[in-house]
Amino acid sequence: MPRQCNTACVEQGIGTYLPARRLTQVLPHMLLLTGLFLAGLFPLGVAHAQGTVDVIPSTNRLVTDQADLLTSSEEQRLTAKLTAYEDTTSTQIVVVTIPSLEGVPAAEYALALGRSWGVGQAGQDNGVVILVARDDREVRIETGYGLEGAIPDAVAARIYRNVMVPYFREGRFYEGLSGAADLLIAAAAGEFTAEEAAPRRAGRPPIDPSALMGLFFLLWFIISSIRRRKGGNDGGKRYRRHGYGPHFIVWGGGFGGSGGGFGGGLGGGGLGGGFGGFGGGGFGGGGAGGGW
Amino acid sequence: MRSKGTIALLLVLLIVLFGGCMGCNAYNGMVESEEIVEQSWANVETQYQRRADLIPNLVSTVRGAADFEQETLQAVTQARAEATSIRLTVDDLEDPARLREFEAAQSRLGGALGRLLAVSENYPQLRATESFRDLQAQLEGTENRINVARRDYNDSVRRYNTQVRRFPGAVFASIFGFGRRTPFEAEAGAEEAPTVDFSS
Repeated sequence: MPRQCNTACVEQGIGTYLPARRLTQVLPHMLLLTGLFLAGLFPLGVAHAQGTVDVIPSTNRLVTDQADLLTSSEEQRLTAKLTAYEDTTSTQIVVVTIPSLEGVPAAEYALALGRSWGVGQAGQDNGVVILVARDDREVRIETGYGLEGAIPDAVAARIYRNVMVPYFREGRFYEGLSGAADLLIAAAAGEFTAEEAAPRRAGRPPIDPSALMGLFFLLWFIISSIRRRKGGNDGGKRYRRHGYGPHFIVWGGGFGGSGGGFGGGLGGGGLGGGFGGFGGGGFGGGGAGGGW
Repeated sequence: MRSKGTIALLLVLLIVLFGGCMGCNAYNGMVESEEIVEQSWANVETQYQRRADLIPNLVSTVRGAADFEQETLQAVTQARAEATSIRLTVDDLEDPARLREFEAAQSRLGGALGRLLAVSENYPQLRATESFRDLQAQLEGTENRINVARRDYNDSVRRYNTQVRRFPGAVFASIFGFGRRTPFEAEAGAEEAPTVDFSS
């Protein structure tokens, strides 16, 4: 029985040389194929659908003024207030202004934003999104699950009606947002403390196909490297490098991509001085809002 | 020494292991998805219940306003009684007819509530009271939550059904007895909270 495989036999494929060659030489191929098969069955990058609404990507800040309704010093003051509040209570109040909703209902936009950004602490879901759509003249206070008790819809509606609408009508956006934040802070007083905040949870895929695939690839890698050492001739090495190298690179890329998809929920943290990053995202449609 | 026999045995073992792995994976995945469907269904029920719980308060607040149309109030109370009498267990979700029944009763209640809010337009004094405004805000919030819960439920059902129907999950689903679940159908008017008609 010939000990090593020359380049010609590589090109022949598995079927033709299976009976003739040592099965240890076939094993890596089989493992690779199994891995590919698994990859076909469980597509990796399938992100969890957050509804069909496209929202602006997370800026990882508590104040995001895309509609330019605030001056930079106002933005700083508001950020400082909300950051200080988050520091002491872990409750996150996120202010986002956008130029236009582009036909999406404000409540849906705010919900999708809260969920996809992961506003609030992991496990507590103590986040509030205040969304202002400039051109639509609409505002929405969206409360996370953890704050639905402290800020019932009626309270959110009062804040919207009695504070935001009057100020916004006069074009005093900072006063409206800051006043709303003050009242939300007062309403949520004592509900959460910073110490209670659970460590951030990592988004775990429901099934773990990557582990299984990883196992196969590890096996494949080990076996083929053993085989290379045992075979020990240049033909084998060249075959491995040229034949399999690109596969490996492709796979590296694939895994990196999936990591990126799941990492979204973790939040970068650290940006914006003391702000600990997002992690919650439990929103169920609570809150209030309307036009001004 | 490795003979052909031991290697063949190894391969068979590997295949069995692989099949077992896939079976376990598929099973666990389906159990997990089913769990999520159950959770999201529980949430749907909670939100509908929340709406039903608001109604006695709303009715008594409205009744306090002089000579409010009794007919509208009675319609709401009756629709509430009907809607709350239908309770579905998770197993009922495999039966589309049961879900339709549930949905029809709930949407009748939604309609009756919408009419109540519309009629209340004729009572500016009532609408000016803080308690009515609070109730209205709560009602709107609840309608919104219902919509969100319904959508989440449909999402979870879609994911679960895909898992149960797609190969190779379908094979294991029929072995382990995972049936399809029924999603809500989007119906006209169900997507939106009862809006107030100013012309009436």
